[in-house]
Amino acid sequence: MSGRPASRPVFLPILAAFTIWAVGFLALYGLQATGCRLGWQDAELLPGVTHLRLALCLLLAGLAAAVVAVVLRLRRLPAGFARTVGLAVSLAAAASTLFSFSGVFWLSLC
Amino acid sequence: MAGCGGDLSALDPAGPFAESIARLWWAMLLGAIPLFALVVGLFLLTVLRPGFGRRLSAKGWIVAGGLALPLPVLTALLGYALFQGEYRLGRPGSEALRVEARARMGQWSFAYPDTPGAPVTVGVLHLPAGRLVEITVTSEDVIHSFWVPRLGGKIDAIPGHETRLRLLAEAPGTFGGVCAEYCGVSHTDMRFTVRAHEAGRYAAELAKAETGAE
Repeated sequence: MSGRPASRPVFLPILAAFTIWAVGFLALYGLQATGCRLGWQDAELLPGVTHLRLALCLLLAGLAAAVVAVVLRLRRLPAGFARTVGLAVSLAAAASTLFSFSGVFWLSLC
Repeated sequence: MAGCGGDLSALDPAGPFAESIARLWWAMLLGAIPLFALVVGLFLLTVLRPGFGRRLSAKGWIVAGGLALPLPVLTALLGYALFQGEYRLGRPGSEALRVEARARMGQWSFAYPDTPGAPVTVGVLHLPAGRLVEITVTSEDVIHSFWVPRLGGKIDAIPGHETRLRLLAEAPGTFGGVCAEYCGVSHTDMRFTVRAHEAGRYAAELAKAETGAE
């Protein structure tokens, strides 16, 4: 019996970065609401930098790193539809991650 | 245009916070009009003058229409909206008069912790004109939303949680308030009245206020 070689689904590299964005969106909102409830916005680590803001900034940094990791991984794929579209979508997700979530640096949190 | 007036009109602001929301609304309208005209104009040109669209490649249309056109406009509007939001949110401060709004299905009640001896009023919120007021909002049952369109923005009333909203009425007057989150069959009845009194007469007016619904 000869089966077709196992192949990676095409949609995975295309969806990966924006899936991270969507998970990040939920996680940021959840962390913000939980932090506000627990009073993390009142505990200052440095002047003007509260525990909650630091936690949100670290989460955003982690999200950005994850999206960049997806971009780097996609660049190693062989040329083709998945690589071309996946790279374009992932770069859009990287820009969107920084653009949409940059409010954690300066907006009122609670 | 009938919706632009009346005591529930967000386009007829009676205080700085509502004015900031109205300004944002006008800014968004003014941003939308040229964009709408441009998109419809280009559409009509491609229909009425065949071949017009070929002056730009398919990629060019995507970059121009999908990135170059919306990104600067949306970025500017988002930035403006966020700065206006920060202005309205402000910081909890001792200079604000505190009022507590408590929602339950079909009814709003208001307590005045900074005004000793003031009764709890139902269906009527009393404010001093010209003074910053911080409303602490909560709910006894389901999620409601506190909204006085002519004085400020909306804030959710959440069971077991306190949210805050700042209002300021520039002059004495009567304003309408509503529940802005569908909360059950009594939702449409969940209106209330805001009475802004002259600051000097506020305590006296509040002291003789009725506690029951009016």
